[in-house]
Amino acid sequence: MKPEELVTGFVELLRVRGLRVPLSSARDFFQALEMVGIGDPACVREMARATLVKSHQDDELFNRVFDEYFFGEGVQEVAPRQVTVGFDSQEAPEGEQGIDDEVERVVRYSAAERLRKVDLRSLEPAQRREAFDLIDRFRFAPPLRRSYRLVKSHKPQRLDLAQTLRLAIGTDGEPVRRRFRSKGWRCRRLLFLVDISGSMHAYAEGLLHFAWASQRALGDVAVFTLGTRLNNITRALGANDPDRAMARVSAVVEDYAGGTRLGESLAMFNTEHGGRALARGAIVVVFSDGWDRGDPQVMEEAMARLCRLAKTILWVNPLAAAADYAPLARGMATALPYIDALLPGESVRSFEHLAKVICSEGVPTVVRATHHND
Amino acid sequence: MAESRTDQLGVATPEKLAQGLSSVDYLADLKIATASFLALALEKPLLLEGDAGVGKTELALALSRLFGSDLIRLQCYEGIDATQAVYDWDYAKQLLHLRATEAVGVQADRTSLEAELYEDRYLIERPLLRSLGYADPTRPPVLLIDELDRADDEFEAFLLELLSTFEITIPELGTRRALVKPVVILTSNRTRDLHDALKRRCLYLWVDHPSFEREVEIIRLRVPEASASLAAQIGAIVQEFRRQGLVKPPGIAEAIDWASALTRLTAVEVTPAWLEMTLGTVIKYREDEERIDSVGLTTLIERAFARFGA
Repeated sequence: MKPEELVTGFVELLRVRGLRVPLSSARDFFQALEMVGIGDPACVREMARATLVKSHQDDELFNRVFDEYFFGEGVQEVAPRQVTVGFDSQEAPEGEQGIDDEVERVVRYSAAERLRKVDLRSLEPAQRREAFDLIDRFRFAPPLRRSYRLVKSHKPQRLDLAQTLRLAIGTDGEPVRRRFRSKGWRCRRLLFLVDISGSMHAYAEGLLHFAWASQRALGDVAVFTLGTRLNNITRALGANDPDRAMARVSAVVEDYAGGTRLGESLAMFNTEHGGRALARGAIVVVFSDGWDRGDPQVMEEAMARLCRLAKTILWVNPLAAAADYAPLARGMATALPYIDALLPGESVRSFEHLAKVICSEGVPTVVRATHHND
Repeated sequence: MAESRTDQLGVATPEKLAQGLSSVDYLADLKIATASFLALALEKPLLLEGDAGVGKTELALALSRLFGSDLIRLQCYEGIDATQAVYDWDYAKQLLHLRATEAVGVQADRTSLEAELYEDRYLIERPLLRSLGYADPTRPPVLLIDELDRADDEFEAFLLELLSTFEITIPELGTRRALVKPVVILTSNRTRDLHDALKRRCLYLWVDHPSFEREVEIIRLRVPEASASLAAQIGAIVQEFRRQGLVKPPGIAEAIDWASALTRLTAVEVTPAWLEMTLGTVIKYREDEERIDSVGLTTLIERAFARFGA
């Protein structure tokens, strides 16, 4: 087999198996083979890895495909699992075709008012889409924090020497007109940890829409799903169209409606995924009903650590809207001492309230869901 | 075609590079050697990710030792911008120059005055600009851009341009182009995802904790005073600690520190008493200490020795 055939064949298979390989990487791999030769399979493997794999998460997949291609191991036609985020059986699965045909969605404004108050779980599929539509159109005013990057300013705090000097040239080296710089503002990071276990089934999509809307507005937003395992879906959510984003998320997440190991997922978040750094100084929104079947000790430790890192922890619980709600679920009770606020999350209105709370963590502002394009 | 960079540097194959690195006290496995070799051969930046203390920065140091060249380090932090990374002007000196010109009563016009002000002598070279100023191809400078994820997006975009052209334009002085491209090593702690555009320009290497045998070798190399049996015991216990799911699992850096500490204290083997006394060199979090205590120092040591036969 010639090197070029080997490269194109292998890269092709990687792409089929779901790894994105840019053309430039394939070219690098080819150049590498020409330099070193293809005598030693272990060396070829490392050359391919260094040129084609751009993220540690893809290592496992890469190894599998490499073995398959070069040693014919574990060859089987594995179709990627399609999981639908259509949260009820009446809805058509959101496959490729589901995204492309433009569904006509009209929000009836009189109905919209009523829709805002209703529990998402009790809505018909069509109404639920309308509710999500409302959430998608939230406007956020970012919670801010001081940045370290200096910007132009009128406050005479810190002299901008570069500009002042340029002006001084015109006045015989006398710094008559002075220019200043000061620290600017940046969005504070927003971090969503979304429980997508069975009991949260009806509500998780609502929060994912909420996360999508906030990501559009704020930029520095990270989203993880907690289920049987931890998934970083920040990138998948980053589509221009909310439906496309949801479809991409469901392709990434495989354990929708799985079991709950809330404490363990949180602990995993703290130790892996650069979680410690992500949570530092961030506004953390945990979306869960607090059912945890794991060890309460693990949950306690994980929350304590998160609490020491984050600026604010908001716990959003869809059950909290009920008048007689008491946080008795074991995980919820364990988390309670470590959170700044427990908020309901069962309807559009609750999400509006959540948006207000998030935005007031920085500079107080008003948020509203816009119903009119006026 | 001109002689390739790896030939110029006398490291024609990944194995040769690994040998070279071990001669300057860096033991590289096949994965690290191959990725570093390709970074040199294809003249591409190498992006390193991995836990703290696995030897990411050390690789850059070792490469500069190997080539006998300068290591230029740019530590990133939030808010870093061109004036700290590329170049700045010495404003105080410039102002003095202006006042002096005025004092001796030279009637200079603005343009010539400006030209005088923005000359090389008032230029402060920051790391990125400095890395372009080398001319000896057998001793390319190693540019280490450390913890890039701490810098913000704007800086990354700016860096992207530099890494593709290796030239920097200073409006007052013109364009500076690298005669010899620096060997570029980037590290990231994954606090945020770097842009795909940047990753596309780099080769990627995930650095893992070393295997037990490799770790013992490294300890012996870096702490020659430690006996073979002590190094093996330290390696075994550190490996065992990494299996405990700690907040901060000890890296190779901690293992080396610990070995130095034990030899300084004239310990000949790791006993629970010694471990307790020197735990602070390996364990850096109170929760981790509690976790280790709850398992029991004696138990951990026995388990580690049994697993690795130390």
